[in-house]
Amino acid sequence: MHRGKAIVLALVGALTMGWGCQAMADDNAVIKGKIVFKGDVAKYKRSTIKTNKDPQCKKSKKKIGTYAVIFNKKTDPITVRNVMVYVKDGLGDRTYKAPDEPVLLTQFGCEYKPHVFGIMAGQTLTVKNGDATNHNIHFQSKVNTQHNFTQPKKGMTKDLTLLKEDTFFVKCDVHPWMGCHIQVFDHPFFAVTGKDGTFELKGLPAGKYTIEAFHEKFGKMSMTVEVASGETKTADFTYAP
Amino acid sequence: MSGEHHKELGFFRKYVFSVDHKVIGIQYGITALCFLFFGFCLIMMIRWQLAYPGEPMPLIGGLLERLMGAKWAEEFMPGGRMTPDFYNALGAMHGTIMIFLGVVPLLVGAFGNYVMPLQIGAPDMAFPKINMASYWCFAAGGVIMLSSFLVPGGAANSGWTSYPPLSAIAQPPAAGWPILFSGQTLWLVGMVALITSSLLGSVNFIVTIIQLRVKGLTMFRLPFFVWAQFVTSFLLLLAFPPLEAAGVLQLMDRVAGTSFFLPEGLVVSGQVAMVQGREIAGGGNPLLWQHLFWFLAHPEVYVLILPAMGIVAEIIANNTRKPLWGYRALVYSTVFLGFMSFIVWAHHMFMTGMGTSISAFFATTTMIISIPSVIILTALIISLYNGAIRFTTPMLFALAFLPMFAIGGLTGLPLGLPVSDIPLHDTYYVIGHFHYVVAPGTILAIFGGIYYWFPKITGRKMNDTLGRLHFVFTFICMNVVFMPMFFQGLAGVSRRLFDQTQYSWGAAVQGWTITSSWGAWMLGVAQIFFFINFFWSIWGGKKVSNNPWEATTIEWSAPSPPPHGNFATEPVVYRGPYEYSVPGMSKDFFPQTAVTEA
Amino acid sequence: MYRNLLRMLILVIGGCALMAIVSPAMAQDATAPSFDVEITGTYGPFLPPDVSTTGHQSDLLINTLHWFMGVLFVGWGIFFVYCLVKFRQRPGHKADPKPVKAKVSKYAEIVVAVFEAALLVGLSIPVWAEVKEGFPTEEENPQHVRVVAEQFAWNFHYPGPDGVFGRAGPQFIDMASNILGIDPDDEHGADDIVSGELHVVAGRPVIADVTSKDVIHSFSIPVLRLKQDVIPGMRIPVWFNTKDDSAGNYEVACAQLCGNNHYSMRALMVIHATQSDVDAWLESAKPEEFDEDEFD
Repeated sequence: MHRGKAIVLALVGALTMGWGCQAMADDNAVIKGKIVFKGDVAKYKRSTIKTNKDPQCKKSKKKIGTYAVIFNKKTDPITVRNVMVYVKDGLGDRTYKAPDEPVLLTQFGCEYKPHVFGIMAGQTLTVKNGDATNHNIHFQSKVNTQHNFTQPKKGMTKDLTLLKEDTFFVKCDVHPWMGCHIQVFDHPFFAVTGKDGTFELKGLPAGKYTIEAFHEKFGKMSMTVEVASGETKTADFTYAP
Repeated sequence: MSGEHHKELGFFRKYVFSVDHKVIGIQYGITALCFLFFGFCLIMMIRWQLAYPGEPMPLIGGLLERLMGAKWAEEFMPGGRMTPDFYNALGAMHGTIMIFLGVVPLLVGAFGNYVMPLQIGAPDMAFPKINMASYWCFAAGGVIMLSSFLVPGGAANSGWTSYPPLSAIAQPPAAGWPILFSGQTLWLVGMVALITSSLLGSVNFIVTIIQLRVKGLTMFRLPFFVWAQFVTSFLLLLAFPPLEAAGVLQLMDRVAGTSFFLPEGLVVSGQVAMVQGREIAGGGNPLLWQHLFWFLAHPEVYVLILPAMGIVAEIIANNTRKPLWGYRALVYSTVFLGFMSFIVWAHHMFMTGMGTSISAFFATTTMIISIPSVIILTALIISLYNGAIRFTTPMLFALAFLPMFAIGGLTGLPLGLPVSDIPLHDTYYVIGHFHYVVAPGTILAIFGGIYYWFPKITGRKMNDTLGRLHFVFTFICMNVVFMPMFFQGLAGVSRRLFDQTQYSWGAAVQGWTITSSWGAWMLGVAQIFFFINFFWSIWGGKKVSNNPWEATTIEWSAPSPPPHGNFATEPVVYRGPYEYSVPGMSKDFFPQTAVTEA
Repeated sequence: MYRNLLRMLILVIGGCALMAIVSPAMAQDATAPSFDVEITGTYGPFLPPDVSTTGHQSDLLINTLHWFMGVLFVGWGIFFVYCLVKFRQRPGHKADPKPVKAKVSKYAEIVVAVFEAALLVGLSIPVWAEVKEGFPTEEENPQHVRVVAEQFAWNFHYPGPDGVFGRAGPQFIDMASNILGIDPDDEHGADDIVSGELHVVAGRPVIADVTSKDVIHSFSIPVLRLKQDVIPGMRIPVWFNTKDDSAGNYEVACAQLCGNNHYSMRALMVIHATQSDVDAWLESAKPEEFDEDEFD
């Protein structure tokens, strides 16, 4: 009985993997680029957030700053951090299975880590409290369930799944400055710019795509890119507000 | 009028969809006792969180996970630790269930339905089918309330008072669930059903008391219990419609995009507030809800206490073997109390930004309403004087009611004066105050009533030893639970705090919280005596005569249990309700229906 | 019956003793509140310390009422217990159905009524008029502050050196950098300071306008005997004054259920000894530039 089940499972697994490898072999185009900022950097100064109430909020750094606009001033040209870049259109009716590994959202030192991230519909999102203080997690979603829950103790975790494509903000209502952006996709082609301001969308099938960049302050921008199988193309975005 | 015309009914018509006031009374009683126990279980869980904030709940945590499933436990009690949302839901549902599904149905639905027609010599209520409709509305409301624990987001968690805007924006329905399936919406729907039930019941009570009294039973020969029911019914009839209207309005605010209670410009979590995915139109006033709510909820306090006083008065007259002292004063006080209870509601709202003149008006009416309460209490205590007091089990409960109600009533004074209300408002002092009225007060009276009328309902008496044990432990534990709350309240601890140790004054009195919690769990244990006694006595209790307490009122002249139609022949009343120890008689009681002593 | 009474008494005392033994044994240390400063004053089972200039009046009322309640309760209680013992049913004792002429009760009721009326007219109404409507005049140089409640934080808006609050609107709200939505183009708003702490000077009256962004809260400062519901859509002014020697750190609480983290809605109130201390704090509370290179 058990052995029979195992064999069936193994067969199914092998078939799936075989198909998966097949698909991956073809889908190897890459779109990469960077998010450049042209404009007055001084206009978007970050300021310190007064976390005056809670000593837990001072434990990781002496100070925390506003997070809406963060430039990578050491790169040349100056690039923008925390920009979500993703395939907006062009995948046709392909469907993708959400990976099994969860995405982790941690609350640490009264900040959300990461501040901007993407997740696939159906993928597990693990929310963790790393602070010995009370955090509240409030999903301001209009499409998915508006989770609004509390993690009063350090080390508490909660697993959630988001089912529909969506872009929304998450807030801690106890520490009003805390916020992060979540974007839910039904495909795995998304990336967030980091300290170097670059992104890379890997494993794309050949085709013509609309690529969109989203920044919480500067808004959305899109361009069309066509890639052949195995090709790597560069698509740089420039915010010039 | 008499019972001979009835035909044999099938099981369902006889015991389930019955129109007999006695069956409906028992249905009300059993359902309400279950809800009372359920509401008590909720608070025993809350007491764990209050005493040991954030600690996993022993036993119950695992049991609930088994019972409700891992998904439910993950949402409400991950790792056996209560979430603040669930804590708030338990608090809100404890209040709602205890008041609207426990105590009021017991006092009015059960005791009123069962005893009142018997006490006026009537064969049934004036409108038996409306009576049945009332019960089934109540049952529907109860099922809706209970089902709200199972929807995503859990049961209503905006307090039993459901103040908007919180109650309007709280608990949006989960993605993929119908609009009605969120805790707060179900609460509103359930409330509308419960209010409808009370309205149907109250009309019926009033008509029955006015129309169906037997020959010779003038208004001033009515037992005090009937008077209490009479005034209570008027309170229900006149006070509930505003809340029914308000409930429907708030329902519209939640599901239909109206803004009766929502002002414009609300920003929730940094974003323009939304209800059902739409921006709030605005233009409403949150205080309107509070006025409508408390216009019901203050008379509701008297709905909770007047029938309890009625029960206590019956038991005291019977067990002191003498007439109640100041019967007319009691009746006039009750009527006056009922009237005054409609013009004190805003003393629940002193902190909403009230000016001097309005607050002075409501403080004055509040002080005035304390006078008839003092008169009633004094009359009941003086009734003991010159009596021959029998310490029967119901009498123990009735006697304990007096000092407990006194504490509850007296501690209302600092809350009724606006200035002393400032530090005490919305603290545990308030909780202590009204629980002394309704828990050691009303609930002790309810237990007394159950022990007192049990022989009438079953023909058997409940066991006295178990009854006494039940009384002693209940009485002690109730005081252990509620007395510390006054100190917590004076210290400044707000009510409805998930973890009061966040505040220095809360941390300072945490020891009292723990004492109080242990009292609550012990109180739960003490009820085992009652459970055993209740169920054992139904089948195995000592068989007794139709009038085991040697009482005078009419219900004791009917057979135990009374048949359909109650009385074999229509009784005639010759005298007042409490003709005990009449000089020159061999027996010390003279029933209302007896022509002569023989 | 005597024996029964005795048994009952033993049970009552035994039960109390049991509870007394069990409950403290289960006590545990309360969690320390998490501010990075010490809270001033000792708190316990009675009223918290009073640092306001008006609070003694409500304390007086509360204390008087409790003495009054105590006397009434003990009076009733003595009569009650006397009746239970004296008029218990026993052989040879019969009830007397004649109603007693209870003049005492009538006088007692009159005394209760008169006492309540005296407290109401003599203490409650005038004190209410003073604490709720007796706002300090501009000659008394009150400090003005806006209190904006939201789920689940208190925000205090100080007008800055110009003494005028900047215009605010929901469209300007940014939860990290402009939590109250102060119009960046309003010149009065440029010097405004917004903080989660309330800083006042001992002995200087404060006028606070309380409003809410979302739901009903209640602005409660027990040490000032101050409590005011915060109603969205309404601006309600309150005032208080602190004693000259009251410098210290105190807590501001929310006293009205406002959502799941209601219990976390706690803020710090600092009473400074001198105005210059407040000014220094206000200076330090201004937003400063965040140098990411230093912290990254």
